[in-house]
Amino acid sequence: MTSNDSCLHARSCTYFDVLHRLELDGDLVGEMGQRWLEHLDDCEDCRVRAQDERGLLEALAPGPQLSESRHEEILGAALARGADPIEVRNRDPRPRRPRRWRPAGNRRMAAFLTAACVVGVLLGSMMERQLRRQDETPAAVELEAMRQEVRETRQQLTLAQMRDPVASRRLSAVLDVQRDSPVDDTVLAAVISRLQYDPSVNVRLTAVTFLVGQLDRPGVVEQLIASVDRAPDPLLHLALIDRLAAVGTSGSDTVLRALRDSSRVDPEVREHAARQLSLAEPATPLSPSKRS
Amino acid sequence: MRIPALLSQLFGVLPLAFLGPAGPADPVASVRVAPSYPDQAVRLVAVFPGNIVRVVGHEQPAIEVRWRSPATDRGGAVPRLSEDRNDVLLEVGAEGKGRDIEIAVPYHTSLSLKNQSAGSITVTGLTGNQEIESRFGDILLEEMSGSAVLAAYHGSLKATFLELDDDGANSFITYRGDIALHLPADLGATLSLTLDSVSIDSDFILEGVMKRGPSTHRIGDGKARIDVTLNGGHLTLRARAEGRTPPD
Repeated sequence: MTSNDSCLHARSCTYFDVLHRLELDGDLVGEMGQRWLEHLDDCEDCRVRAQDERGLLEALAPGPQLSESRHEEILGAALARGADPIEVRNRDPRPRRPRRWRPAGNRRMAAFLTAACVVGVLLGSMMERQLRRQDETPAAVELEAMRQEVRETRQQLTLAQMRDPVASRRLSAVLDVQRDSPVDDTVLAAVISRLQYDPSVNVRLTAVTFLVGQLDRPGVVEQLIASVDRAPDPLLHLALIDRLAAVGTSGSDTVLRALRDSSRVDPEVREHAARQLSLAEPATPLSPSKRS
Repeated sequence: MRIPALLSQLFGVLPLAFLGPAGPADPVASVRVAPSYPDQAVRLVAVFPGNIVRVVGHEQPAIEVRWRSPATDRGGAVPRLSEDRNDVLLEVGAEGKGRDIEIAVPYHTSLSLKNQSAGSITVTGLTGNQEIESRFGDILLEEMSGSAVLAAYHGSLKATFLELDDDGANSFITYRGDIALHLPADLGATLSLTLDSVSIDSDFILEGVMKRGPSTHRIGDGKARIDVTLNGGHLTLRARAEGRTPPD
């Protein structure tokens, strides 16, 4: 049998892979195992490949130790072939490259190199992570600081624009606030101020639209009620009623009641508020005493 | 140069035709003020007790106010003009209520006008930021450039723009009345509508769902801001072709 004829590798890589895998797992026993070993002795290609893969495996993890019975089995097979028992006994029971091919301390060296590689990879990874953290953290902080600065600058511009003599710009500022909502208390107070003091009804109405969406913020309901008496403006009040009716919360009902009950509000407006309230409030069931 | 402006320069006064036909019993009086910086824009602030007001742009730097005194007028009620660094204040006392007032201003003038009682306000040919409020009367803007913030409690709004500013916001509110806007055909705007009923006639394609209550629509690039609040009236949006006066 020539090397080429008997080479499983030459027949099929898959075949070789299966046998070699079985061998590595310690499951290549019996006649097939014996043939595999014989083949490795004859075929250098498969021997080298098997040795390389085994070396890699050993370097990564200690390989499974052959059982005593398995050792005896391999030894018996070797003896049956007429091999020198000493040589066979001294041989690693698992098929591998002959010792003469191995440099001394190969296994330890491989393990050392692998360990060094693993340590190197780990250290590199840690250093890279550390460097990335060092790189990213200041950048992220700086970016957030810049964002905050932009927000503050924009807020200052908006607040300044709310005091612009041109109504169009004040209106634009309130619309910006509406777009950028949620806003902080300073901006909220500025919008409330627009509602109460702006000479343009258009700006006041836009402020109302924004504030009706902020009824859950502390003080907004009270400020809307205060504005009802402070600026008796039918157009504004009617718009306020319509927007409050669309919201339909307890806060909006409170303001609606204030509009309905205020003596400074136009009678037509008060009627409109009462109508919206009656639509919003469910019919109150009669109490037993009233029924009787 | 426009003919009224030429006549005005020639004779130092506005042409009488500016006020339209005036009877011999209704003499015309006027006051005039010059801005501190003639080459800069002017801002005119006025509160009217209830007048029909007409404002027209002219090429002169001066601001001139003219009014027709009824034959029954015993005098005494004279509108006052004062100026401080191009801010012009026009004071019309309660005794001036009911008079027709005409104001000639430089083309680059921003108005801040309020009519506290009955009377319409008409403005023609100005560039600037216009803020006009009328209690009982229509507001009409013609051939304007810039931005406008208009409100009428009982009255309709009609505005024709040659150009709309992108940086400011425009707002049109009426409680009882219609709104008609003639806007540049190539307009890019974000249109915010608050409508009691959906009654719209638009030359523009309005992106977004049209509905009762608040809604937002985009026209073109959406740059300019236009807010419209109507309570039961009709909204007309006309695309104004350049150089053509829009039909009524």
